Amino acid sequence: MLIYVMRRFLYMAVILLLLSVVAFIIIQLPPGDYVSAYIAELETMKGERMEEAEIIALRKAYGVDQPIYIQYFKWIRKLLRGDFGISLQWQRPVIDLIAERLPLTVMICALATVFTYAMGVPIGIYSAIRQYSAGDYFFTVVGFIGLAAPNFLLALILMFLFYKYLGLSVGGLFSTQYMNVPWSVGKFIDMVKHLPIPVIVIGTPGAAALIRTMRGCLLDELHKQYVITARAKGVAERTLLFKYPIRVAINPIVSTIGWTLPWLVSGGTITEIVLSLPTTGPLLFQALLKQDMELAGSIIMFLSFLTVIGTFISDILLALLDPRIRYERST
Amino acid sequence: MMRRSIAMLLSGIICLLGVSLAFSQETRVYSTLADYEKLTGRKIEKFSESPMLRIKVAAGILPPAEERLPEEPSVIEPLEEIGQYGGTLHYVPPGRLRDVRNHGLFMRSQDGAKILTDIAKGYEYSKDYKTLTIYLRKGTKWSDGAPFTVDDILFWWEDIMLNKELNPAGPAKEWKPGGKVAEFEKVDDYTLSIHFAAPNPALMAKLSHPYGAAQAHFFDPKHYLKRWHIKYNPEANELAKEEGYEYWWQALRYHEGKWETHKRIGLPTLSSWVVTKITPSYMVAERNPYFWQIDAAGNQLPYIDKLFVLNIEDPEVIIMKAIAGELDFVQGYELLPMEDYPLCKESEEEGGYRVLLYRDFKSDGMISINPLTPDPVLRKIFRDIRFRQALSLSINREAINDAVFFGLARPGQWAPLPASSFYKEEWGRYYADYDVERANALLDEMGLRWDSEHKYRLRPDGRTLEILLESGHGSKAEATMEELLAAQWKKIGVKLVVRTEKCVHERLRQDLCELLTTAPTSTGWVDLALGTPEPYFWGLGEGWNNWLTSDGKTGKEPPDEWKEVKKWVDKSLTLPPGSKEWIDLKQKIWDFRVKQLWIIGIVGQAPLFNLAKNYVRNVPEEGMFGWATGMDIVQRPQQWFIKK
Repeated sequence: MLIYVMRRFLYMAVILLLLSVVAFIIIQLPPGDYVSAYIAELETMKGERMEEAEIIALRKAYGVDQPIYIQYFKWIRKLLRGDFGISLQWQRPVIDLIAERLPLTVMICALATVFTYAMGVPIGIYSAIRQYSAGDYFFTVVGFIGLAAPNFLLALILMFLFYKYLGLSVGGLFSTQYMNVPWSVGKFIDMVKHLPIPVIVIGTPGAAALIRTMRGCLLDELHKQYVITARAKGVAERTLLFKYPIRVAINPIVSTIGWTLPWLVSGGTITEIVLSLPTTGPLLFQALLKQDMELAGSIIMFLSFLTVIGTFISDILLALLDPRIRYERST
Repeated sequence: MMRRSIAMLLSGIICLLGVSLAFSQETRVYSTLADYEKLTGRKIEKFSESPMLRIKVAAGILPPAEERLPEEPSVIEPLEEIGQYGGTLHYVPPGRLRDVRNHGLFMRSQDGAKILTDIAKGYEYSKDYKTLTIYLRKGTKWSDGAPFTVDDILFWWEDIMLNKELNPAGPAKEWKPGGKVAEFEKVDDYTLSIHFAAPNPALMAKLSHPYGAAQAHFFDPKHYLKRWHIKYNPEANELAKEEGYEYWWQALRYHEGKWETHKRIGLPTLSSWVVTKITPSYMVAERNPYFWQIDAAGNQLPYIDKLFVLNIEDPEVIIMKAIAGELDFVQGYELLPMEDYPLCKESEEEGGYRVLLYRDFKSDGMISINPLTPDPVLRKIFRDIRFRQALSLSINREAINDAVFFGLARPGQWAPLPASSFYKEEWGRYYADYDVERANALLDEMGLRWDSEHKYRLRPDGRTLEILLESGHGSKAEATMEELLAAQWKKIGVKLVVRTEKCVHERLRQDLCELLTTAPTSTGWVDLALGTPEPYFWGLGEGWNNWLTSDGKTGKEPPDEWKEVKKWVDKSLTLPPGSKEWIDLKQKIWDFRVKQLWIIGIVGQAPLFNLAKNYVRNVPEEGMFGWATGMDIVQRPQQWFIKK
């Protein structure tokens, strides 16, 4: 097991290094760079063209006049020292920008994830045992709608309904009067009232997918011979269900649980923009649009890191949960 | 001396009165208290202040109003009435907080035709226009109470503009007339003279624009910023490293704020509100206790105590919030699309707001044709004036105006605004009538034959005459317009391929575009009577444009006729704006430019709208609004107030 873990760590380092190259290239892919976008913005603002000398000076000041590979090595060297660099568009250290958005992001997405599993797993199980019942059909329809409806649309509709029927202020996490005041019971209640929309919107597609996966996996198991044997031997239906097929059917879900880690940070970018939530999703979006290299690169690396770690955790969990995998690995 | 500059201002006002009064609600502002008393015959006996500040004065935290105001405060006669103090204004969008508090030494009138004083109390040119003298208000203070003097301007000039590390390119062109960098001379703490090697009457036009002063502002709080400057603090590099930067100039660049002073906490300001809090979801700005302006009753401005700026980007959400009555002010410029105008208007009562309809100086309704198009065959066709005339003639401007702008824009050719002193009406009509037959005749004359099915015309090399039209902004208005144009130009056999997303900047830089809605730099359809550097060379492809603006150092050489125009333009910058020679020359330039049709106008002065709660008063109900005058600032937001 220990060797297995160490080997995994080595792979992870290599993968992260490769990812950093890929991330860097992808961010650089669109024509131009941060400065050319910045110049375009300034020119729109000033209503006139910038002089060539001014442009050259700007490129130099922002360090984008060097060849790509040098920019890459400078970036990666800083990254290895734990320095995320300075955001070009904000002119502030990247770490601060991420830090001030991280707690809220993690809170919303963690709640959304809980929502996803709390909805997905039980409904999936129900749908599988009561296959082709009215309830199954109902949840199938709901599931497909959840999968197919664009997030931002769902967000807008929910926002409108909550405003129209519950009188809730639109967008954001707090009503305006609570924004600029210290924490209080009123403020907390206000936040709780605002939470359902983002949680439902961000969690729904995941829950819908989970229903389908859970239902499919469980159906596979339910028709296997060991289930029939157990049933024939008179094992109580409920005990049988929770002790055997569900434990097997839940494997694919556990193996993807680790992927929710990066999802916690960048889960609902579009939703977050629509809902005006101060989270990392919109930050990444803006950074990519403006080709703000160090900011976008840092967030992407951060996400990659979480993905790799998440997958690792998934593997460990699986090994713990499923003896078959454990044996396979130890040989 | 002062009298002369005021007299000059007044004469400027009088000669433009005819055009400007017709469509603007201008707030009356008097440069100094003495001016106000002399011109109105009324007296302001004592100053008063917001209750919020009165408490602080009573507690001894702040000096009394008399000491905070300059000796000669500026006086405003509010648009509707003397306002009430207090309240919080919920404002959207965040990016525009800059515009609400973007005070410069000078500013422009709402119609963009006049230069007015703002933080400074006056200016004067020498007879030969080689010296500009600027007079500051004695006793003006930064928002932290430190005095604002000529030293703050010199700091900006000598330590920032002329510093090789902060500004490697050096000052912009308007500071180097005759090829020599201007010299700043401190006459006293409140008087600054700037000497030029050649006449430079055009500089004031730039200084009067909050964004046009070339490098963002014209002054910086020296007392606050000098600790990050290596010249004043030998340990500036260490300080920068502590803050996470590599070099001192990076830290200084951040703290100075440049275009984003509204995102810097702690940076002293001369604006009406001081930004006190920034979070990812909102910003708060509180009144500047040292603001240098009073109303006609002696009340120190601004009226509103606090701005609360919500960080919402999505127009749908903004509109929903406005209808829910949660926003006091929405600045809709390039944010609320015209197609939402009916919805917003319909919900006025529910939301308790009013829709304020303004006109922009520009519009997205124009096409620029790239004379440097990469495809040689197309390039040759484009360079034939008859082709451009045919394109212009075959646009049904009324139809586009109705479909995209609810008939509220002004159809016509791309030309300077009517408010310009040198305006010629014929420009707006030049090849702007809808005449498909004549357009077809022009193309036939060019020898562009139809294909066998008489569907499209063919290029000389036998291929279909197909042109790519890209969006300069990627706005919804452009997308609708492009579809309409494709249908309209089909009638003259031109096959238009449209790309509705925003054209990538690099494509523009490298002259890869063929046609483009809106000129690369957006401020089309504009000229103000001020002598601002105008869009003479826009829409000529980057190559020619760069050649002409860099005096032949970069870019591609344009035809000789444009080099001639360049000479006229250079000459016009040395003539006093408004003089007869200046007007004649401007007309000569624009006669040429308009008739070249490299930019084809469709509609101009596009409508746009802001939303303001019914209780937010002293906001103009109509007029011009846009970049040309610096957005909100021209409405003097310091006079906005919340009526109880």
